[in-house]
Amino acid sequence: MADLNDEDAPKAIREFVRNNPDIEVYEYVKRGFNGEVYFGKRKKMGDHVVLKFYSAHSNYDSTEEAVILKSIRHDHILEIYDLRFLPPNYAFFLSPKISGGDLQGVIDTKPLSSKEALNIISGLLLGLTELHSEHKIVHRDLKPGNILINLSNGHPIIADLGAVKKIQSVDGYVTASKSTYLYLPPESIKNNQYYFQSDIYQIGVIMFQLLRGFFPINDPYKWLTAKEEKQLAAIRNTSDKYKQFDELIGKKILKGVLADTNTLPYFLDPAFKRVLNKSLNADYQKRHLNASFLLKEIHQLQRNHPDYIEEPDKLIVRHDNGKEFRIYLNGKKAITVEKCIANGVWRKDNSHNGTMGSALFQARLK
Amino acid sequence: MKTIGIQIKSSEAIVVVLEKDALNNITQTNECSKFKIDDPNDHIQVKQFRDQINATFDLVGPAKIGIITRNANGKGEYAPSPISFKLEGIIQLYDKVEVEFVAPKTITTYFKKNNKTVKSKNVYQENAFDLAYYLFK
Repeated sequence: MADLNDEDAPKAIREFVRNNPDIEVYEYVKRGFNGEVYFGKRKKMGDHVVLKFYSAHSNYDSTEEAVILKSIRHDHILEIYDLRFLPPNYAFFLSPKISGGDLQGVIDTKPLSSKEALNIISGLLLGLTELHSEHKIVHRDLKPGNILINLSNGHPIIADLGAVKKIQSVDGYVTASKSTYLYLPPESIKNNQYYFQSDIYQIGVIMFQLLRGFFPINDPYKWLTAKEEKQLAAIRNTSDKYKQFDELIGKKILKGVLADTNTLPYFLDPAFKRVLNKSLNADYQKRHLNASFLLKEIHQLQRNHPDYIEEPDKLIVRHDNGKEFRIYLNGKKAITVEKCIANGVWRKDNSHNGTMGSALFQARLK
Repeated sequence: MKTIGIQIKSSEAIVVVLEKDALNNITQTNECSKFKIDDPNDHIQVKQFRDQINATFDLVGPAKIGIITRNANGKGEYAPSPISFKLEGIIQLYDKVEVEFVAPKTITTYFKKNNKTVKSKNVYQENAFDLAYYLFK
């Protein structure tokens, strides 16, 4: 067995992975406060798998949710090969290893174009439909770190199903999960309630991130004002500091400014903002009624707007009919537009008046 | 128990969802919607339409789904078109509940003998509403 460097993992888990006769474990990754992840190869099947451990109660693998998860087979939901309790207080999922890693890793490496972002959201909504309709369960912890990307087809796959919970009636709710605070919807911060529309909110936050609204997940202090940072710096005790930080973030979530749609890139059409404002509405009843309503709006965005690809020195606007524009600042810092039809030659387009608004207007024309 | 009534009108599918409670009260839910394909030759739009319809049906969880039949040689409101045939075909492929076709005449005859206890919320949804109501029979 490879050197796993998993000294931080609980003893029961370390012993289990080393003594498992079916899986040759070769890598360990610590995920968050409550997630031990091991990668391995099934000896008989020859495929690569993931073992994810959680803290759990002794009846965990016989709960209704666990039974449901084992039965789900859907292109956009991670298949669970097995789910078992591990004494004294752990449970683990055995699932396939997905080629492209998680979505947070993808967007940290390279920003997505607007169409790529919408394609991912469409796929997530199909997965969410399966959870909400067939099984009446909410995910409660949707975020890019819990979405896997299948490299062979680019499909997003909803993973990390450890926080799922069954909602008994359409307008009912469950308690919120103690998951990533930054993605908690306002109703969870305020009343510790989580509805089907709370998952819609989390999809909205993911969409906001993919479209590159201001969401400094890797440096969350950037959300704070200078005054708030000072306030936090004055606190010596680390746990008090975390508590205070969460409180400050919670206030921003309640005000609807944590994912502030005014920070979306200048080039996106206003329709993007409208759709996001609805899915991120502080009142869960004013959000999209269900995943299919949001899906319909995402498809409208895909149909009615070109693909925007932002590169360090230029913006590319690509239409489905093969027409493409690029907007950049020339040597004299003047806005320049070039047009290309179906991979032909790039030609200057001088039909704009020199402002970004006018250049974008021209580039948006099919 | 819920029913879904669908009217295909040019390139649009008008979907009405009705719900009957334990006391036999019928209400029109806010899950009603319209779905369309702008360009029937665009395979992405065709797949989007399929995904929207399937997601809607899955989330509603109806006991019955019906489409108003159009006369193949008809004119006016129920006149068929290549796009409408395509929409019908995609809807029919839904495999969790059987999708049945109901002729407008059958619905009209039914309401000559039965009174509606509620009205459609919108005029454009009336035909799909009547069909969804008829499906409770």
